[in-house]
Amino acid sequence: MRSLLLRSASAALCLAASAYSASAQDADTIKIGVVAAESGAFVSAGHTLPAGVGLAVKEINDAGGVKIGDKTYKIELLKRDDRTDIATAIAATQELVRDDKVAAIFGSESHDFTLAMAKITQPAKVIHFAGNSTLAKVLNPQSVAPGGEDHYLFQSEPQEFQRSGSTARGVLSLLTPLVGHPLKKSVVIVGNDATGQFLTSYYVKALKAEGQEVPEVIAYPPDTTDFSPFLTRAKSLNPDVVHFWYNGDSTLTALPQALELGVAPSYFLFGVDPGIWKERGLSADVPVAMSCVPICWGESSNANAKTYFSNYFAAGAPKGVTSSVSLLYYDYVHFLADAWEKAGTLDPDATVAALESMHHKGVVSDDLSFNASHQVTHATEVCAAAPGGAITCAMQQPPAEAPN
Amino acid sequence: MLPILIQQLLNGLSIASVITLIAVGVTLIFGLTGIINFAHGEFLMIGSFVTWLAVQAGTGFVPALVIAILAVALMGLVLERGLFRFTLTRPTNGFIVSLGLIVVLQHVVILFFGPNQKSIPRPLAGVWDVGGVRIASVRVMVILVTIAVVAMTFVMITRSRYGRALRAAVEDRDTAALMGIPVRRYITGVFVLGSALAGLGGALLIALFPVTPFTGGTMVMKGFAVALMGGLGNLTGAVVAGLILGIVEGFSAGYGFSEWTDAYSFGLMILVLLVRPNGLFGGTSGPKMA
Amino acid sequence: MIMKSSSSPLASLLPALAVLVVLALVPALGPSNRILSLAISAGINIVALYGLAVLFGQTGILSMGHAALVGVGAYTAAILARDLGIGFWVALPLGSLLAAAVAAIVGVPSLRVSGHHFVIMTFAFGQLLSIVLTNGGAFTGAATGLDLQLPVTWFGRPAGDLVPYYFIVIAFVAISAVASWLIINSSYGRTLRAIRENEKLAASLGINVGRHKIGAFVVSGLFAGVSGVLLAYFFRHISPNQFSAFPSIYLALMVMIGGARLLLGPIAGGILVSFLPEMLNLDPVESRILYGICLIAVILLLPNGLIAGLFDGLRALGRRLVGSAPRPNVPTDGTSETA
Repeated sequence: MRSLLLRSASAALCLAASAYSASAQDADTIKIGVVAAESGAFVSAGHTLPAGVGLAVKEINDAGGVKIGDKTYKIELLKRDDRTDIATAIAATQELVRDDKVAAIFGSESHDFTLAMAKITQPAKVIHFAGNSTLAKVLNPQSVAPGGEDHYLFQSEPQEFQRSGSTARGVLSLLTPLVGHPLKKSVVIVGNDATGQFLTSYYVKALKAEGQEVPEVIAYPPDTTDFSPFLTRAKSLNPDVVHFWYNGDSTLTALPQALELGVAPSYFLFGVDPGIWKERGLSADVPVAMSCVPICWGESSNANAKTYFSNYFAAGAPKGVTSSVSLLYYDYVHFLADAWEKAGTLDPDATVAALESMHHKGVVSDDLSFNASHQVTHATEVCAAAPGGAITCAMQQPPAEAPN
Repeated sequence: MLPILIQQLLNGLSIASVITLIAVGVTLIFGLTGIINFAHGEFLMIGSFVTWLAVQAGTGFVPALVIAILAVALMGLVLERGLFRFTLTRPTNGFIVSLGLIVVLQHVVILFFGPNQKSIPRPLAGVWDVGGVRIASVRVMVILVTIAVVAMTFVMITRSRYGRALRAAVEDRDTAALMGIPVRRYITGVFVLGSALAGLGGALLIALFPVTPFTGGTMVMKGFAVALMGGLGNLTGAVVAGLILGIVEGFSAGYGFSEWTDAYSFGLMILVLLVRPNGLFGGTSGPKMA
Repeated sequence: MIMKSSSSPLASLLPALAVLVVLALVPALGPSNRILSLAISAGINIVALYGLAVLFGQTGILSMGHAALVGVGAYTAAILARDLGIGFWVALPLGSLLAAAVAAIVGVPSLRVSGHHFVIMTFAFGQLLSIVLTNGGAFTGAATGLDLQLPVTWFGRPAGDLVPYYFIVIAFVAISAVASWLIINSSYGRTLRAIRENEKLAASLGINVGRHKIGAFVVSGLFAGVSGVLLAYFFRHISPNQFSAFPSIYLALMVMIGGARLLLGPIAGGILVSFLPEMLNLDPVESRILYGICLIAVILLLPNGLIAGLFDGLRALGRRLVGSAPRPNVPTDGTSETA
């Protein structure tokens, strides 16, 4: 019977701690939710979402809360781990929307989760912010118009032609003086996943708009660790710049291999913060540009960024390649709070109208606003490390129109 | 274009050495003990993290590598004695245990060291340029260590009394036990050896590439594929299959439609198994699954 | 091999039906939408698991590419809806048939390759399919995947909300359970088990082993396809990642932990693996660790799977209450063959 006891004990262990505290609806709080991977394979990007949103919520509450009419509300943040699993992301969204009745949802880091989540938030009129530029596939003036299927959905990352354009300009303008001769030929190396496929099409156009010849885009399977064959292939094309385009972790894996193989006289690393560059003690015998999503924490030309990141890291978030992703969410909590105050109500339609009409002074830009497709516009920061180690950063304004 | 071709050949060789190193551990454990340890990739990852920790603490790379081997071997001993030995008659249960272990090991590492990528400075920084072909000394080191380790393991398994007894035990556990072979202890021994190899592989891996808590997952499938393609428990097979897979991967990435790179290796695997259903060089049949 | 059936076959169906009736009553208890949503996902998995159980539990072939067949069903539904405006109810049989056809192709190498080598082959097929979907351009939506907009209707009324969809899924779980029960208790099922226990002997008895193996694949594909259509209409957005290696491995895990040979096994495995993380209400990382430990604990303590373990436990308890001397342990695989 010992085994029976053991079995019951183990069952008890596994069933324990199943106290889902149903939070009582408090009249003086506004609930908002964040759905992101806090465990599983996407955790390194995912954990920045609750960290960024949490910081903004704390600041708003510490400053007194949100004043709507003559009443002041505190914001209550409900964090839900999607475990890097779409079924859990959907369940978490259902829970937040229907059970907790949140006013807004932030997330997720993962593009296909976000699309599935929007199918739940939009019919329920829950305001939904997501920092996936791939949302351009569903956002357009008709779909976000009143009555449209994505009226309450906002893309808190610039349109991809803007990010790509801003990045391409920054990369070429910073690298040219360091290389010492005009840069003409670019090869793009990219991870073959949803974001990689989507982003590349824009980035190649942006490079061509800046006068670059792009002989080949080399796509690698997302889990690649040994990049040497892809890099050797790039080398055979004699490029002036090799662009490691999406994503940061793979980029950092590929760069040392590229330096060993002597692939090009200069490189660009997408989504690698100069902070990581310094922290890891990386160095290169050729100039290396890097971009942040959207602003760097290790070194920045943006004065607001310093304050933001010191608060962000002080709150306990680890320093990582993706730390700056938190900025795709942080500003919009403040923006939303302002919109509620301006609208004077929590009514979703009035709030959306306010969001559409307002300009917000945030960290990523002094003038944040949503266009007719509910997308923001701001520059992307690019830094470059000279062979000696000196790092310079710049933010090039994005092009106004998409290149053809 | 000749230097590029030679470069791609060397790249393929380097890919092959990492895959082979993993496959040797898998083929030993899977082929000789019947334990289906899908967490082998996580053993590798732990080896990388131990190396990283040791290097952070100021040891050189070589002591760190030794520490990683010992640490993962010890972990293997504890897990075999504590978990896998209760599943020896039911390999599928061992498989489930290993799936549980994957989740546990990945998240224990995240708990203590965070989810972010870790890297160490290159233990050997030199790069030779031979007529336009670039040879990184660290890759040469990995290839040489792989050759040495495979050779040593080969001698141990095929030439020693221990190895012969072991193979007898694989063929028929009960008879071997009747003949006085301490089957259980041998199984533990092989599991610990395989774990030590994973520790070594992890140390070499982080010398080449940065590592995250999730690095092991993709590696282990290639390890299993190569082990099965070569023939279970067959070291020669693992080496040849690893070499083929590495070179096919290198060349398809270098010259083919690069986004289909993994498809070439999986396609090749299917083809090889269709032509030679028990692997290239034959091997043990492994544990019965159902 | 023990091929006994202590009671009539019908008795083995009753516990499963009873459980399903209980599950059908769940919405009446007013569960949270989170639970309901997870239950729907679990139910969709369970439909696929019944297919895997026919393959693994009855025929003894393990597939680690089952999620890819689910993917065939899901993509069929999404593409039919997008290009032809074909809805849920028509997509169901079509998705199921197409998945079965693909399953037949995957099954062909099983004639030559057996055991572990075949397991790794099914895995390779699964990965190949997800690579094809990723590189399939606009037709498959590439790595981004496809959106599905068409509503699900039920007797002319929209049934896209959680509770109606829950009932639809439960109905399909019930159909799957009954279909499995029919298979298990048919002469076809006995043939499959004969192949599982001894392929050579089965062949010598005149059984066309190859045809039946592929047949088992086709059957498993039918279930997987239905599961895929249900999944596409629930998630409303599908992408290649959802059908690659790890989802397949998790399906294999669920069917093994529940018990592949028992009618209740897929239900138990699907529910356990989906809901275990829900019960561990700790910090996300810690709860994942505990989840892994629980998986290990369950399989070490109940080596025959959840349901067989449960029956063993009940029997042991019963004996203790009655006070009779314990019988020597009969191998559970056989005794609960049709439980």
